[in-house]
Amino acid sequence: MIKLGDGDIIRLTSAGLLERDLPLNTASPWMLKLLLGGAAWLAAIFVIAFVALLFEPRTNMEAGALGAVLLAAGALLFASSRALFAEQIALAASLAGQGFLLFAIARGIDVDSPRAIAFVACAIQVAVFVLLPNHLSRLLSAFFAALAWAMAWRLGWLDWSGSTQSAFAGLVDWIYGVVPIVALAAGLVLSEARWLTTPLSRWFLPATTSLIAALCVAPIVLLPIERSAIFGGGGAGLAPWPLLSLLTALGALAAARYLGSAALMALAIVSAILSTIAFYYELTMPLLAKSLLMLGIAALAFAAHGYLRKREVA
Amino acid sequence: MDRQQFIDLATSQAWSPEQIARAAQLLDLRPGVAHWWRFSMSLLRGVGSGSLCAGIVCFVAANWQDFGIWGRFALLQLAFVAAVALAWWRPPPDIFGEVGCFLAAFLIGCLFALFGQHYQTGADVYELFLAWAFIGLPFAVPSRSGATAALLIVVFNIGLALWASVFGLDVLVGSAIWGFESRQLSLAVAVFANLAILAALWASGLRALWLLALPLIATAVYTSIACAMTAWGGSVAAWVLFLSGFAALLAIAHLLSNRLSSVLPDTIAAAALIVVSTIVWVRVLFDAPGDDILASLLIAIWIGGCAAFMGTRLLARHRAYGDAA
Repeated sequence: MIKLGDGDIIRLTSAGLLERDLPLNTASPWMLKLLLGGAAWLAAIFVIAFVALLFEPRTNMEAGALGAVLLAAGALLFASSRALFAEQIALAASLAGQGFLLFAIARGIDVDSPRAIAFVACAIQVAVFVLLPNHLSRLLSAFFAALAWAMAWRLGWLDWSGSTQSAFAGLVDWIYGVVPIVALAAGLVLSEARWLTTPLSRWFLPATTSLIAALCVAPIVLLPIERSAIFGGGGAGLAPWPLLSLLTALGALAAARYLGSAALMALAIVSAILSTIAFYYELTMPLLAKSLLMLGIAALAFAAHGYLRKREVA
Repeated sequence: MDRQQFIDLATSQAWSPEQIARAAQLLDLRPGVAHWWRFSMSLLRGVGSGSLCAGIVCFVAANWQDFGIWGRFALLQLAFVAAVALAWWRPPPDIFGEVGCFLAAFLIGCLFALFGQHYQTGADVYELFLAWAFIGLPFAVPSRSGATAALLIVVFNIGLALWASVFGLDVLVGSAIWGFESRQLSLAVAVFANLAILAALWASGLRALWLLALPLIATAVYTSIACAMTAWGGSVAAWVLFLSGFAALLAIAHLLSNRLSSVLPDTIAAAALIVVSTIVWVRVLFDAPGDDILASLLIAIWIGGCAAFMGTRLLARHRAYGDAA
């Protein structure tokens, strides 16, 4: 049974919110989910080896068929058993199936279009997220769907020959890649009370966690390899992309704080630090000027802290 | 109360959206205005401190060429003296004392790096890291700060990892190379050194879960690498050495989990167990005359079964810790 403090019980009872027995504790800590997810990935490698050695698929159709069968087997196992062993095998089978499907479709599409492959990967992950009835599977597929979506737009920015589009086109692709994830995550977080106790929570709960995690990782993945500039040319300019990435990380930090997730907050802080490092790295200024900029920002931050402290005391 | 527990409570009580919002407020699960205020202040403090440190480092780096050798040493030594003076003036557990101890421990490494850059001492890089960790100890002990201890644990393990790779970790590709036993010995030292660090942290009263997890993770990584090496051509003595180290890891992780009422140490040990057992099975099944197809299937089932078994036990223990709290 879940534990509530005496004070919490009194407050909830006084508000007329505690009228039935307390439920059983079904919580699972994040470290266990990490262990089970990692083990499923490792097992999936051997499932892929097993299936590939046994059936030796030679055509895309055969690989795709194997992928579909593995996915179906995984879905069946999830639906038929709640035992952790069955869930692990099902997760490994579904991950292996996704690998075969993606391989088959990628081989079928023109390999000079990594953007198309990323979109297909996103579509597969969305289908797995909707169809497979398992929390851990939904967590993984929501995360990778968001990442694949962001990568698809990133790959459109950099064509296969390595030359960049204009900075404006790059900014538009960045917006298409990240803003939908931000909107989805914000919508889920702000409307949480409305769906929390409905059957939709089976999808929305893992989606909320995974989208916030994806917002920490995707902007780092989206950082440009070559410098693009809004102002000036030839690499001289303000380095806007890491600033956008920093903004996204701060948004993810706020969402994680709102939900009270320490693990997501830590991820968001790491993302913010990496974005800040990328910003200073890309800034085309002498090192001395950069150091003065950092000291100026430190002074501003401490001044703002002092101001907020005075307001708090007042 | 975590999110899943709150969801279970909300579902069992059949709360409406308004009741959910009210309950979250009563249980202090959603930050109010005061929380956001303090959160913003913490964020600004972090941004300010980080920018200040980075700005000072970059300012020094920008003018580094102009300082000359004596200027560079003087700068670092003055900073070191200032950090020690700060710790002396406002000793730990005062925040200034802890910052002073951390900076002093950090600057020892900077001095070593500068010394190594300008003078041909003949020392290997791993010797510098290990010396940094040992000389920094007098600052970690009085500070009793997790940050200083964490810094020295990371530095020590970088030194150990570099030392072990002097004798070569490329043996993982499967062929026996000259000095093979030396590599296993260096990893054994790394394993037992980290277990000793764990014991020292516990004895000193520094029992923060995240801090104890650092040497535990290092032990798990070294043990996994050592077992992988031994699986590809180790002697009986090597097997005895590493299995005893592994047994010590499992026992200590379990002890820590019970004392701290957290499954994190046990989970780290469980992850190492899965990795090590998988490596052993791969070695046994793929090298033995037989079907690679069956071997792949058996290993996949082994991993799933192992993870499920340990996951079930750890989940039950996690809930028992929660019930006992």
